[in-house]
Amino acid sequence: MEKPDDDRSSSEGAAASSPLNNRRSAGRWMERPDGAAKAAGKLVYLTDMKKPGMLHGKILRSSYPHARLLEVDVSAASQMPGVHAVLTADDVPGLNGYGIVTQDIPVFCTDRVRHVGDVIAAVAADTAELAAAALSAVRVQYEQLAVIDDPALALAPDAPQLHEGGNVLARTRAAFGDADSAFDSCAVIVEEEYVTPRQLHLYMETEGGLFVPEEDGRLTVYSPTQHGYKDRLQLSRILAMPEESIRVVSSPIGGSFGGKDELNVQPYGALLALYTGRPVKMHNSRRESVRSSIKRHPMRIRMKTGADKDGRIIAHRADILADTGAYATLGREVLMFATEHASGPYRIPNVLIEGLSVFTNNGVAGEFRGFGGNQVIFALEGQIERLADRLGLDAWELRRRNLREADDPGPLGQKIAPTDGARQVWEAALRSPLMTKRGGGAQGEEPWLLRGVGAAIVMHGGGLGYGIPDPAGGRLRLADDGKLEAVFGFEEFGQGVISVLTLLMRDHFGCAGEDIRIVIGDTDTVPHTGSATASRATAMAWQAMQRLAPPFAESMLRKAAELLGCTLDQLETGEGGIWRTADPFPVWDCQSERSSPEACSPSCQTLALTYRQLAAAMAEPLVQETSFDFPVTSSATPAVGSHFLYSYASVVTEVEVDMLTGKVRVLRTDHAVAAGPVVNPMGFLGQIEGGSVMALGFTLTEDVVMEEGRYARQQLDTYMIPTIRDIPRQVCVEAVEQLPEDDPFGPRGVGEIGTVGLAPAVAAAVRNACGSWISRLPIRPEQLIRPYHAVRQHWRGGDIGD
Amino acid sequence: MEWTGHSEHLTAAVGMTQVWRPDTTEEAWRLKRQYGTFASYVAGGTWLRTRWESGSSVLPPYLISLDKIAPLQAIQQLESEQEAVELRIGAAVTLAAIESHPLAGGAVPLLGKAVSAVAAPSVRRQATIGGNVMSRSGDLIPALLALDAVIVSYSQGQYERQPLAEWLAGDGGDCDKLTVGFELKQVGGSCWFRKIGRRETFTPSVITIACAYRADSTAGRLLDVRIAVGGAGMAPVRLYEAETAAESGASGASVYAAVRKGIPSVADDYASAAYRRMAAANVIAAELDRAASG
Repeated sequence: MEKPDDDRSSSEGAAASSPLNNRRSAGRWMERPDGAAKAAGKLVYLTDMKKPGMLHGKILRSSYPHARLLEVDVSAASQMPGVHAVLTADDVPGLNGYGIVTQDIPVFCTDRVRHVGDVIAAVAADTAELAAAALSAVRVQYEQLAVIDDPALALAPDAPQLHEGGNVLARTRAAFGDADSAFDSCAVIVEEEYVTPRQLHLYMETEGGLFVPEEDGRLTVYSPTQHGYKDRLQLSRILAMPEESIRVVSSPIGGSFGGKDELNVQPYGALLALYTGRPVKMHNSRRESVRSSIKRHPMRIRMKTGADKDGRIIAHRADILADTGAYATLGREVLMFATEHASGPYRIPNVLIEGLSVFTNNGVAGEFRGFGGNQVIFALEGQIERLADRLGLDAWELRRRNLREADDPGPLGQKIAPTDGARQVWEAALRSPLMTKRGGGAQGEEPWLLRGVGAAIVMHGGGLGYGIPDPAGGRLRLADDGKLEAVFGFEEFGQGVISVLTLLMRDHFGCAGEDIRIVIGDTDTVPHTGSATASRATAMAWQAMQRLAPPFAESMLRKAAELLGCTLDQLETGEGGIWRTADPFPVWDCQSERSSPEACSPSCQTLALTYRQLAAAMAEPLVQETSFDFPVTSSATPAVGSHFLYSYASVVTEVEVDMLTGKVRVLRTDHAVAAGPVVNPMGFLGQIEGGSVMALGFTLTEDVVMEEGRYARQQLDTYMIPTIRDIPRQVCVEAVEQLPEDDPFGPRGVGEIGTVGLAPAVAAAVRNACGSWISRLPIRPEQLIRPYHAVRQHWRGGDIGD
Repeated sequence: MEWTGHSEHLTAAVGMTQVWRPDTTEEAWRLKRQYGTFASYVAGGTWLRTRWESGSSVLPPYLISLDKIAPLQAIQQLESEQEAVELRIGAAVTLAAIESHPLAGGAVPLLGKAVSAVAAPSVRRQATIGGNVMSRSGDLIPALLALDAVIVSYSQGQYERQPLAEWLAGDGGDCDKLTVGFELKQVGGSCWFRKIGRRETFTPSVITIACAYRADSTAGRLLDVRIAVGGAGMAPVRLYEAETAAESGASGASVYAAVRKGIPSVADDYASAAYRRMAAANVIAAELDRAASG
């Protein structure tokens, strides 16, 4: 296997100690099969597909963030030449609604619009230009309503109600001990409000796809999603078609990060294709994507945390207010996750967490990598830093004094799979050379550049949680052409599930890359294995393979033994086929189609039977299937949504603050992640590095600013994600792989955890650099900038006031 | 209660824009005169395109491309009796061409630094100096102001030269002129350019500062200080008071105060006017203090 040049360790050599880099020489470093084509821009995505005779679909969205819809007149648009369909709510044969859990998002609005992404009509025409012209010819009569652009406004007693059930989507409460009275016995108490931004997923491929009505009456949907079967179910309700009549082809995907788990343009493409009887292509512009897509929940989190004089945290209160926008999607589940994670990896005897997720006219917030953990960990770790400051203790030591033990219950009191991950990553952080510099600030290359080091710790649950259906499974098949097929319902949206499955197949069967075929992303061919979400795909693939591989291998060997006339223990699977393990040994003679000891020659001494020969000799195709559920807690009455498998991470970072401009640069980050054995080192590294870049945007530059329910930044020219020049010069990732000896669960997911810890680590580093406490993200240069005379004073030896 | 059409879809709907590609300045100018507001000159189109897409301006039925007019694509050295190099840069010269041209990006470092701070390499290969200036908020403007650049325009068989600062002070309403290029001198001494953006690169400007000066080491003073600021929808300006303060050997604090006074008040959803003033004043004061003590 070709190994790439070690570009990371060449950046000042610091990454050389990373176990993940050592893996490169151990033969597990696998270049992702889809990597080269993606990097070269040659990979054909579903949104690149075309078909002869296809039409172009476009969607008319609301002109107002909140209005009554009085009349929709499509007559002029329908009569335009080249326009083949103009659809509204009247044209939905089935359920006029969708949503992963609650189907409250109208496919087409009927009487009211609740955000500027709400859909009123959809058009199919010969060209995209004609479709756009038709949209402009649809006449809509609105009556504007008061816009609720802040969750606090939504909670006012006289606020207009956005839904029949009111403006509160969800309330959560987690309580242990008696937090309120425990504050009385605390030596120090810190209280702060933390504010986090609305973040865009910013997948490179905007939403879209090709929707094809087939001759047999079925519908094929080529459209990216994180869960083909869920889309199929949702579409079957809308279209009033049996699920089996819909085929969803959903990979490859140009990024998702949670953003494509919910439906987006699929209902419109499907309806237009069925109405016109022609293939319909949909593809959002970036502007349409910003306007219509779900975002990360902005949260306002008030925390009050108290400790005794020795730094033992006694009481912790959190009040979470989430802006969930106009519809439910996974707003309730995100809030549940935030509630569960708001006390982090700490043992705190008295805890009260209360959450509110509130409807507003600010677009729609939903699933996003990190799932509510990012916001609450930013707040919680901020509290730890403030407590340490008040106590005069080193903040890392304060964490140690409160860190959970391996056998402690989970944050909601539930029994969780015991691991020592929290302590392992705590210790790993101390191996970062940056940690010796923590606490004190330092000067950079100019007197106005101030440096500081900060660190944070993260505990993050995988899977959907207790009480939420979370099925998994998989299928192995020996194909007619001799390929060993791994067939899974997961999607490849860049996270590397194809590499993971390939490596697992190699591990179990010792086979070569060319012996393997990975089959994913097509509801006509793959089994139900649940959504590729919640850091679960790698963990579930590993567990599925544990169940599938031994019996599948045995079936192959049994047949091979029968054909070769030997015993099972003389054979094993390997590169190219079935190999003998002992001499003397017969091989399969292709000509005579029988085993012939005399045909044995030195060159074919070990490979006894190719997979192809084995497949040809099978009377029936060899197939092994499994289905099971994501493991959940065995507690008697656990909270719904509470998790069982957790990953842990620590982040250490050094930043530099330019006091003349207030700008923050992150110079280096060191990550340690305890998530069990690493299946795919390159994928693991990619998840943590990529996740931390996403977190850097969340921390420094990204915010979907809305003004009165409208998007103030609609394009990538004003919505700023990090570029190569913004990211730290050095990113080191250490994987802590040790699990307790009897742990049966194997690798935990790392898809999300890399996005969580950077923000609080940077906030702590900024505090250590220049003295300012950060409680709002993204960090505003306006908070940190100081006038020239104050900066001057500092570099002459004075101090910069806060 | 109101009926609403959805005009935001109209721009995308119009597929009938006609593009003229004249060979001469005269021909381009005539076409513009013929079509008036129904036509727009276009070179790289990078800035105009964002305007059309956002609906800030309407894609006109006619575009007059400047890509085939040879003098507009040229960088040439002018005859000069002085030692300093004098340059004329055609309005349709791309930023990438300026960046790599020995006479432009090389010999006029302030311009080279400014060009490198605009957008990203792919955009710079298309975007032109003329477009950057005609946007009236481009990052090159502060650099050109600090270089005392002259804008050359064409109208009715006549070429006109006007100091850029003067042109900027006008309302830009004179659409009878076609900007054909810029003239500037290579100035000796030192310079720096600083773009404070929303991120490290490929970013809209929050505030952009260009500065040129000469240090008189014997007298320990700064001479010929030229400071200009711009960016983020602000009308770019020279900071004459701050220049005078710096030249008269004033302290950083006085320069700071003079800069603050000179910067127009512009705020957007990213940064307040107060932030822009302080950031610009800080950077200028710190750099000039360093130069003076230098």
